[in-house]
Amino acid sequence: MSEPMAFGDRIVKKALEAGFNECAVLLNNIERTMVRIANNQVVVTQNWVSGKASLYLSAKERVFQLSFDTINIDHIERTIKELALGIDRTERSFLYAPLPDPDPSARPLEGGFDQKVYDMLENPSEVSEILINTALGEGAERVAGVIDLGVEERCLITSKGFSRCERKTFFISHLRSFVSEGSGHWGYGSRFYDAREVEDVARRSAEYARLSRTQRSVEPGLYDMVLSPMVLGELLESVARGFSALSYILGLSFLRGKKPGDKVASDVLTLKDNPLKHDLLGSSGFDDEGIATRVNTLIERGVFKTLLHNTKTASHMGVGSTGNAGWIYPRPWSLTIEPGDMGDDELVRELKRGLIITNNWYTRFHNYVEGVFSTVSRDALLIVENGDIVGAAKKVRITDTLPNLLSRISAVGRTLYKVKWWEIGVPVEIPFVLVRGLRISS
Amino acid sequence: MEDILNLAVDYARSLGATYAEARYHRIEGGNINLRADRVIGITYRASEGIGVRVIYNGALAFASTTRLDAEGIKKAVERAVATARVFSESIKRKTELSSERLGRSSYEVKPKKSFDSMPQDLKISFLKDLYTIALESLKEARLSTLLTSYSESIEEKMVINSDGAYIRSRLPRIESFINIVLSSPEKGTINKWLEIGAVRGLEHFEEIKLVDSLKETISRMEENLLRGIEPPKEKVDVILGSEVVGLIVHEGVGHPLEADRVFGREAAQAGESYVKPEMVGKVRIGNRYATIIDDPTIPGSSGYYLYDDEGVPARPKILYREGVIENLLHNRETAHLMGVASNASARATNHASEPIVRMSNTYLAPGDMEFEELIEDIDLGVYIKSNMEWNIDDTRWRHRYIGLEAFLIEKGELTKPVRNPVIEITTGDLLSSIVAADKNLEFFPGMCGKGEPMQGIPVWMGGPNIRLPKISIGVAPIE
Repeated sequence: MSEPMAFGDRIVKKALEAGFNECAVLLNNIERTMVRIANNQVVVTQNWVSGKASLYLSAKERVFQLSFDTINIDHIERTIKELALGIDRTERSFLYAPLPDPDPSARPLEGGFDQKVYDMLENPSEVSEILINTALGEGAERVAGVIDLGVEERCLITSKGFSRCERKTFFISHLRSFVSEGSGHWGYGSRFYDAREVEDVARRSAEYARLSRTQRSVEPGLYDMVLSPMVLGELLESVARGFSALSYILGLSFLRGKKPGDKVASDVLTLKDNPLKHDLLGSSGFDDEGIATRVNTLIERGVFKTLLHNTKTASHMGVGSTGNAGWIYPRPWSLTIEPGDMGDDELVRELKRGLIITNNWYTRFHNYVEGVFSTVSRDALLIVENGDIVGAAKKVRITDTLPNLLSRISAVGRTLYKVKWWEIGVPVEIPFVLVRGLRISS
Repeated sequence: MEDILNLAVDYARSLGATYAEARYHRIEGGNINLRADRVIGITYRASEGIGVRVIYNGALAFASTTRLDAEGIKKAVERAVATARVFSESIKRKTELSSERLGRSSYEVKPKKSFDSMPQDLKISFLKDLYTIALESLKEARLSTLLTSYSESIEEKMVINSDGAYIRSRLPRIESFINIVLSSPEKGTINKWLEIGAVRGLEHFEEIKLVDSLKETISRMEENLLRGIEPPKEKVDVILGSEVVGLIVHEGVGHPLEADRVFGREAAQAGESYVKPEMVGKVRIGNRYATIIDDPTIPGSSGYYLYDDEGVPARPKILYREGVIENLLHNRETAHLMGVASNASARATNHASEPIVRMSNTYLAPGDMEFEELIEDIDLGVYIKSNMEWNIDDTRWRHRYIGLEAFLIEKGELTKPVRNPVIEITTGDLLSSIVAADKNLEFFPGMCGKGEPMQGIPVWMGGPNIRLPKISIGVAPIE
């Protein structure tokens, strides 16, 4: 038995001895290095060696979640004992369902470890040089960005007998380039290092900065627009939140009132949660309950197919788990969109007249249930006329609803991008999309 | 622990670091989460570790560890020094720190009513009572969703650095989140996210009269949902409530005056600023009502501290004085770049976070009028008491706020509820057009995000009710 599994096994035994009926232990050991760049140079390096233990405990259908950012066995055991004394001072969770029996098909996902990433933990200077030098060589006057890489071991041990570990690397780089008043930003995230992708991050951010160096205002109104994967990735996080069955049960999802089979998006949109593609940052072979992960289609050609479930939400709604635990909150692993048949340039030609939004931030909701939101563009906002980029616009604010966004996607690009940066939480592999008629307020 | 931190500082210096800092940081607490009157689950969390910062040949590096023994801390120091060494030769602008008189002190906030004084079952009962109160506050609308979350924690820190700082602190934090959705078959839904937070004990709920506040909020939401009218189409006088004003000065003044942002360190994350270093002390953005202060020493506040995480003694900072930018928010690194003293704005979320420039409690200075005086000569206007959606561009200039609890003002009186009024305005237009402020200074808690990895840090935001003349108001939802 490996060290983490023995550790987890010991915690499970102690929890059962203390009076809990069930226990799951999730152990995350991470070695991580982050390099932050600003004003064309490295401004700080950050380095973490951390262990985290998360526990799920239940007794008499009461549900407890514990998290320890320090793996201190005495502290964990002491806390379990103290918590056990208060079991009767809490109440049954209305979401309670037993932990599942071990799923024989739930195994660590093969692949997902890149020795090159691991080797760069102590010295990622090769990447910072590529990012800075490539962008400056492409005309950027000033750059800022991040290199974030490391290795994570994730182990799950449950009182039902599940015991598995996965060890995977991660590599993220994103860069923002500035030229005069223009700026461009692009990012990349994968399990693997790829120098060409890093160069592409730098090159594309510099290109967008050059294209937006002079800007003019555009009037409020309805616009056709091409959304870059950076924008779509940021917005899809809110979409995915609505697909979590817990949001749905709690009455906070924009899908409220909808059911599988209902039309919720345009025919060209097929959205999946894919944990099985081993190069994606969210890839994993088993969820936090020990259920085998699988590809779940959330929207198929515009039709709502399934919510994301753990065993609790599934039991509550009378369906099966989709392998997306979170012990309480079912969450997506990696969101993907089925590619269309248009190249990125073809999408712009198809747009004919409108805007290309290359990046956004600060999406906020006025009403989660109705999906009413606004988001602010940042970096290059390109004006398209007669299918050609003819200039750049000053920042705008998109003010619309998630149902409108999903139903007005009229074309999907064929090239998929693994974009990642500060505003994209859930990993994605998605294309550019063309949306007809989103409102800009200012 | 003191020995381990001293070991970290001494060891870093022996490896060639010109500056070394070690911070023990522990946060322990828990949450209770309910939907309506039913428990979802109970959580407990403990975060404990040491964060180390070093400067080696002008390169700044941070490392953290959850191993609290000598071997663990020495490895963290070695990692910090090693990565700093890798980049030190390529760095053109070396990191230096301002010279400061650093603190050697301990402080603690003792709650009047400790978290342990109320057993778990009574805390659950309290949250259940909120559901009953919410139901009883409604006359016609349906309570579609009520999520309540109660959170308590103790934050302990010890900071030691090679420039002589020695700071210990212990703070209790209480927070509660209430997500309310009311619905009506004819009118749709209205959604509010109510947030409560302070560095206090359980007495905070009584002091802010949480029960009364919830009743009033739900009644206003119901009125707004069922009987809210569209805002006037013409330009009218607008009264912005303390909650909205606090958010505006946080987003449009506090953030852009963070000196690290001004110098471009957040360019790829939280963004840049409309402020340039040479504007300080010279450029007028607002009018005489625009005096904005950041003060970490307000007792009980979410942003409370007496020394920052670099050991600099905390004090109130005037960010804008009567419309003129007077001070940026500084840590020792940005203070050195500007040739000024740090004003103690370095904060770290936890042991795994580097200290960066942060706000504490940011507010617009109150005026001397009563609320009634503020509105008495308004023939037609709108009072936006609170908001839900908001956002701002990444230089912190162009704001948007959608009012949630809002009222029509007719002939000096609040009359009908107004549904979803939208204000889109620049920082400059807003701060230069205030024509009056009342004396009702109120604060609201928030979790401020910045940095990479993202650091959420508790703050208060506040101000009085203010009056703006002849503002265009939009309306949402948009169709």
